[in-house]
Amino acid sequence: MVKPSITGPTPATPLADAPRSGWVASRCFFRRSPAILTLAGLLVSTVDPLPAQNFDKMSGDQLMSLMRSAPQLATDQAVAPAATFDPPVISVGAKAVYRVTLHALDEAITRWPDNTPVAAGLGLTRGAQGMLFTMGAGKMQPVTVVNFHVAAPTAGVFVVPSYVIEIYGQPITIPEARLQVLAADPGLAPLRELVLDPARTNVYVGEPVRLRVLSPAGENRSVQMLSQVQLNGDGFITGKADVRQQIAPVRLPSGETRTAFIYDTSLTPFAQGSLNISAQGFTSGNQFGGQIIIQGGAVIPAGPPEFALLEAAPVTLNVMPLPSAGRLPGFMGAIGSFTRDTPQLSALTVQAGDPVKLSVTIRSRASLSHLAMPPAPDTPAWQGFAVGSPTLGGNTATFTYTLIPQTDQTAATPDIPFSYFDPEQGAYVDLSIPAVPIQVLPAAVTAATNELTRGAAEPAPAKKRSLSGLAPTLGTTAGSLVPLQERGWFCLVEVGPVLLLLALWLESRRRQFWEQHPDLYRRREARRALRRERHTLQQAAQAGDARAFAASAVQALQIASAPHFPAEPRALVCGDVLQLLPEAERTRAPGSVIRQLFRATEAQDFSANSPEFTHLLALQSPLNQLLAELEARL
Amino acid sequence: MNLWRLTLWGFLLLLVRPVLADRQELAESSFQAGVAAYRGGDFSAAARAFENSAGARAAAGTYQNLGNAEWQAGRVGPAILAWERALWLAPAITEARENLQLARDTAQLAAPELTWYEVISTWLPSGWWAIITALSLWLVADLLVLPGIFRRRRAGWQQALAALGLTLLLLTLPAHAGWHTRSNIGFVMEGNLPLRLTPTEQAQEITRVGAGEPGRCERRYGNYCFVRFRNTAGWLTREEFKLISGR
Repeated sequence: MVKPSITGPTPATPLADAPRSGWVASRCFFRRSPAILTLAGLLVSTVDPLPAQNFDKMSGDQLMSLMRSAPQLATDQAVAPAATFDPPVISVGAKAVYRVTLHALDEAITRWPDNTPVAAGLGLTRGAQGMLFTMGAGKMQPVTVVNFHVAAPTAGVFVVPSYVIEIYGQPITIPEARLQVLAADPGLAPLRELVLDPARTNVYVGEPVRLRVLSPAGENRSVQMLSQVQLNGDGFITGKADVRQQIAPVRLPSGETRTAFIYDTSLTPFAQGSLNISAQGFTSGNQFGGQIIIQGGAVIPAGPPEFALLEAAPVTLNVMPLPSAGRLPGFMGAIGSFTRDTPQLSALTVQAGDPVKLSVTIRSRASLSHLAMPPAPDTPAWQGFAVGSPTLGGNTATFTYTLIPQTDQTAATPDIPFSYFDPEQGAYVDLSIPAVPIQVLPAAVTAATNELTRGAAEPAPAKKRSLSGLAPTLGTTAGSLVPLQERGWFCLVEVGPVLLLLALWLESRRRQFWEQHPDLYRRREARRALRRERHTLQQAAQAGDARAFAASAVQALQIASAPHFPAEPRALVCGDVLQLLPEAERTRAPGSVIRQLFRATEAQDFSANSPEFTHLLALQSPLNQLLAELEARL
Repeated sequence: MNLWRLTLWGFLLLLVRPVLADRQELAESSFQAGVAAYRGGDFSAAARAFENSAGARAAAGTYQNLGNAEWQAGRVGPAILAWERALWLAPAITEARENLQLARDTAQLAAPELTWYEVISTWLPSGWWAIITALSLWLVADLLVLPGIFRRRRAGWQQALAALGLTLLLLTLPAHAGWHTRSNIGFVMEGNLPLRLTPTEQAQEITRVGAGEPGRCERRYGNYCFVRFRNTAGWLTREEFKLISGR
């Protein structure tokens, strides 16, 4: 449950002679000479209130000067504790209040005894606590008052002894107080109390209800003004803007008619069920703030005010929920009894596309400060905007709409649904703003705009949006949600063409090299062929195949010699090979080996008789040495 | 040697192929189970089945249906993520796009704000951009390098084709940048999640984010992602904030 902070509003009122542009403390009191003001049915407006300060538009300097001009808070004053019984003498069974007054902020009270010491037989119950500021020596002086309700069942003198509390962390002694209780009432003055007087006790949630806090005149017709009026309780809000103060004869719940100070405000419950509401306020003698109406005869006391904290007995409101049945379109939370004036148009003829203003005034005897405007119409033919919030004036509220006809095919403004709940009837009442006839002329528009407005006047059937159906198949698939270019294998695949191109390029370079160096190419090819041939030669020698050995040996010699001429190896004869040997070796062993091998193979090719090859196998060792020497020269 | 390698690759292919086939079969069967559950009104079961199907094989249709099932089950965050993934795989799916628009209008959610190169990247699926880039790259490389290797003169048409390929290659680069940055976009899975000041479980709460809110994961720390939203930034776990790219 939200606990509202309810403070009796005290409208800011400047001194009569204060400059209007200056800032004046909200608590400005008029001091009047004691007099009897008998003003029958006369409205006394003391001063006009200051226009509201617009703090948002103030510069830093202005705010600083505003702060400096505010009265200082007196925190160094003496606490001056006082404890009294009000009234000091009562009869048995009568009510009294034990009141402690301190010149300190209420939050400065850091410790208060849980059980206030009390005389035997006297019952004390904690009551209201309040604080107000008084002006003294150019400073605002806080005054805190704590009330205790007293019940005295027997006659006698009861003493509440002095006790210690802590204020600002310092011990303060509350002086003793005495209450005399008489067995019989000799016509004693009763306890001064406030009276809480709601206009209705059975209300609906959200229904504003007037509520009066009365401060009845005493026996001498002396009326105490009230300040810091406060409503206590949960589940309601109070209207601070519609407070009225009045001194007038009222009929009290006891049936007696007496002049009283009336603090009239409104209260709006927002929680259903039983709401307990109590009130408290300080007597302020002849000091009051804001406007006040004085009717009839009243005595306003002279002298400095007493600033006694008075309380009113709680009252209970029965708050009912709004019925859900029968709720009408356009219900914006308005509760009460309303009437509507005829709606007014700012023009009776308008071109399509041009704005026209529609105003309608709502009237009620209750406050209309919480009245919400129904939303502007938005139809194919009309576009509407609500102009701000309702304009309040007395007991009227004016709704203003800007309407723009979208087509000339319309002859009246649209209906604006609006309804309210009537608590007297217990039902919703239709108060819709009716259509107002208007002549809409065609606009001088382009063909394209005309097409658009025609489209607006004849709305296309609204396309109903809904979830699509299910996909029948898997659709586009992928191995992973990770983008292809960020997957490792894709990057590896991209390397393949790079390697291919690199290989092709290297091959091209190699080919170009051999083309530029054919001699090297021939020698390399000769070395390769020689290695192959020597391998064949080795195999033939191991197999003891002398014929093959001789043929391979000759071929090897031809291959090893060919690059030096250059020539085709098979075209070389024995003499060609011998030329490659040093002169001295041609006639020795190496030359002899070459000649034997060539002779044997030539004899095989060209002689009719088969030559003998067996002895050639013995040449393997010198042949190998010879071939090694020839290979080294390649 | 070469023959041995070819045999090895063939053997590996034979081993992998049944696995791939099994995954495809699982994806198909789970998809059909999801469709049946959806039509039977069991949207949670349908969502599970579609999720299994998507786990076996990511497919645009599966993600679209997964989004529908999650939305019908009242899970806004997973629904939006699934539809975004459907568009991630196949940007041309209008149904997923319309569903996303409907969901965002209904849940009052904003779409991710994309840069111009990210918008370009949404025109085609990511694989297409990669293939276009690869083909254009090798077209240019081949046309420039191969004539030299094979000792041919570069013909005019070869040079024109190379210029065209190079233009295509350059045009695809912003799209790749877009794909890369978009892969860090993700969505809040559940509503009213606390956005952490630090990547710890007991971290101070910066604010709370709603289901389906888009954000970008700017860096990671363990299981946490530093997510930047439109107006705020903080740490969320990877279960709380999932990326479109599933990383």
